[in-house]
Amino acid sequence: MNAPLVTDQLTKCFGSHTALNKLTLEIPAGRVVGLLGRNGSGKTTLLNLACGLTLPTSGTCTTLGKLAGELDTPELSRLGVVFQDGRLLEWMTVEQQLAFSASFYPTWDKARERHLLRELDLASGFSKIAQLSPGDRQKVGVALAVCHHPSLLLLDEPMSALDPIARARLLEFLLDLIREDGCTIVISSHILADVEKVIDWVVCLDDGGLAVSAPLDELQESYAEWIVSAQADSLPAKFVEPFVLTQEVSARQARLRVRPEATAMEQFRTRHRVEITSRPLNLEELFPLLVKERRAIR
Amino acid sequence: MNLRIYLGILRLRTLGLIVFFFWFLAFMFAFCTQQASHREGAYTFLILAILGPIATGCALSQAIHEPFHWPMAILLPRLGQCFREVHIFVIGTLALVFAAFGHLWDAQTPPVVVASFAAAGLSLSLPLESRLLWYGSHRLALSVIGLIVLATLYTHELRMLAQTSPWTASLFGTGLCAMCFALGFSRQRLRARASQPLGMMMSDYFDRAALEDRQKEAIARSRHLGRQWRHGPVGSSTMAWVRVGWHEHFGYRRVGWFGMILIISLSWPVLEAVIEKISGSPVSIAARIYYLVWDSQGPRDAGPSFLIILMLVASISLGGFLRPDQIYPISRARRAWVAYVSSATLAVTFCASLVVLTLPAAWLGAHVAGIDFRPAGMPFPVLAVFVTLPVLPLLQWGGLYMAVRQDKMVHSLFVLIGFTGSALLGIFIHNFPKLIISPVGLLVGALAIAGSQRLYYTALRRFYCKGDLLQRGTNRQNFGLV
Amino acid sequence: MLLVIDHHSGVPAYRQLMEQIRLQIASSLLRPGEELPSTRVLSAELSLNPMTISKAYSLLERDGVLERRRGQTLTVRALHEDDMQTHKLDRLRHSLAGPASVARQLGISSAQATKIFREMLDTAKD
Repeated sequence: MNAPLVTDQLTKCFGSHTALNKLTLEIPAGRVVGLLGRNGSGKTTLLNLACGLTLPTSGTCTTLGKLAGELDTPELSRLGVVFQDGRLLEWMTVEQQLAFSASFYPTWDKARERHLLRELDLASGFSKIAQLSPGDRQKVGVALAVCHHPSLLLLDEPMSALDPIARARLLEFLLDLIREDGCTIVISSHILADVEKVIDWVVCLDDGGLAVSAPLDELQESYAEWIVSAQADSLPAKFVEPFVLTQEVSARQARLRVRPEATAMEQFRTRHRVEITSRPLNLEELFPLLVKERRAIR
Repeated sequence: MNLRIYLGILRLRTLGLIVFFFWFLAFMFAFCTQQASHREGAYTFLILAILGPIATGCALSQAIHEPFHWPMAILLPRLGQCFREVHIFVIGTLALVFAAFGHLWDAQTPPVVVASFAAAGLSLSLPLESRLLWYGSHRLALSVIGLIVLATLYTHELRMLAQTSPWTASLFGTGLCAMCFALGFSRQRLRARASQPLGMMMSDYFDRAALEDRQKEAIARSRHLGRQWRHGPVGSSTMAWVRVGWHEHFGYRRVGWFGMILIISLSWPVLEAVIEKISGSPVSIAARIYYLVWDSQGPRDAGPSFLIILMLVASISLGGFLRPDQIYPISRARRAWVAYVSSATLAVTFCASLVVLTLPAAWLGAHVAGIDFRPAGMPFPVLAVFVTLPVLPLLQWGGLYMAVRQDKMVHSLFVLIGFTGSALLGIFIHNFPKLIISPVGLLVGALAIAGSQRLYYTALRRFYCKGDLLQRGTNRQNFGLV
Repeated sequence: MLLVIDHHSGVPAYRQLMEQIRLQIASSLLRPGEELPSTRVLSAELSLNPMTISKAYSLLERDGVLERRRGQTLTVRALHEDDMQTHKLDRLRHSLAGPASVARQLGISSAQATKIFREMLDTAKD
């Protein structure tokens, strides 16, 4: 399967502010990709560019095989997007909104729509969208994006207003989607703890550039936290090995976050004559290291 | 509270721009006519004593509305009282300014009446702050609009009243002003559920976000449900996509797009006739409608009012486009085409209804006024259609450009150009009707129509294919002159 | 199958899955020849990405712990007694890596540490 989203030297400037700077990345097909990054790192801009709502200042963005500015009916009917700001018609009821959008997509699946509304506890009564809570609005946004069996699903902060139960159900539903449709999902979210449960690929943006694009397993296996305790002498004030990313050093103990080579641990232990306890890092702990590492290179 | 704080709250730049805007429009409107002096007097009175103060008062009330209804304001001691004191002072000063100008331009009307009417108009919007809802239940709003309409219709009579018994009139005006103040600043109002007054209309035009927020609130409050979408699957048919755009924009309104166009075409002769009546002519409105359509009673200034109608149609047609921040499964080129077809359909419907509806309206007018229905010469609506077809796309382009370029100065400039142009156009149509129908005129007309349609379609296409649909302000170089 | 995946431990999900399957096999909770659930079923049960499950399964297959029989189904491979024993000892070695490091850190001699371990084994038996 071809990569559903490919960018090449993608740059987007808004006046004097550069949102994306020569970004080159390739989202692998059939994966659940977590699009991470600090606020202002360009995540939303990237998603807007991918759907063709915004055009790049330079470089290209290719979605489902077509340039973003030339997306046409075959590609757009296989694309599903959940916007962060919930662009819905305020005056419609939930049913009306779903029926309206359903008429645009020949592949709309009523059964999936009903299932999703039930799962997400969205009682479709006669309340208008303007009267819904932010959480319910997000649910409607999700329903609009997934019911037509998209092959590429882009979600921009889809869960920020949902309560924990609704979040869990939404994540379950996304997994259902993968099992049934084999689609590619790109989730941009700040709630790393939730996102970690479903994603298997991490794309991290930092300041408009690409910090990391790698499988989650690889990241989890590359990074670690070492609790270092000195047996005899005290520890040096600062560890200068290049694979040490952050460190907190006191007299006889240190906490280091590292990205070591295979044999680095042994060499470290012998060189400094210390005892090391290694523990893996979860996504929440990894994130600041991914961003920080890129700054060091620059 | 001192005057400096009050002026700071007013956001003087916006306020100044609104007021200037209105004034310029009003003067263009009034003085681009070629009428006798008594009409000038009536217009001056209308603007300085009625419409001007009401509009300025709405703008002022809107500015103080927000801090006044701020929840914290209830806790601050004497806030209401302080506001009232400064507001009285400001309104008094403005009323005197209106009166001064009135005396300058209309020496016959005693300035004290103008001052008191102006004071009443300035404070009219105060009681509306707590009770008026924008789209929801609006008994109070309708009564204000009704008041404005009545006052406009009877400007001439009011002016006569002002000249014959000035002290009665002043008493009436001052009393009205005092009542509005009492209602507006009462303790209950301070706590009442806050909504925005009618005056928001003008400044909202400059503040899209605020307008959208208020629309949302009103929608949430009201019980009216929009239409059902009954059109089934939208495939590749252009008209189906046009209908999608219309449903999104008009689906909630009680009157759909077609109804809107019909109402607008009919409103033109009525509006024009009402304006004629203001001038103090003894001829009834019904008769005016008849004469208006059949162009048989002297030159008239159809330009400005017709332009208002055209601008309405232009803005409605822009509303029918597909939402730019939304994804639809059609390409950008297709979107441009759908937008063009949508505008063109509305334009054609408007022109057709202009011709088809105004002729029966003229007949009805003649019937009501008791005139023999004897058409003489070319009906004016037919001439108007010739003007509409090239001018409307230009207005639509202008509207789209203003939406893309969210700049207050540009907006004002465009409206200025529009009004001046329309006045000239109106004069032209009146004085040279034979020229328009002649072969040369028809040829020029056809070329103008083709040219403006082409320009509009090209601009739309450029906007949609190369433009940034989300951040429309960044599109300037793709769409327009500057 | 009763498996628990901790998404926040930092250990990759596929690795946790492999470890737990190995442990279940070693402690005879999964018998030789027993069929494992399909990727779809297990991913629904554990709320995991199906790709994670298939990665774990294929690695276990490569390591000779599982085998593919009758087309699609994965079953537990029957192992020789010796292999089974090695397997079990590997699991124990894996679990003891942590305590060994603690003992070193505390400066406890290996004789003392072994004594404590023996005591713990005896108490468990009772």
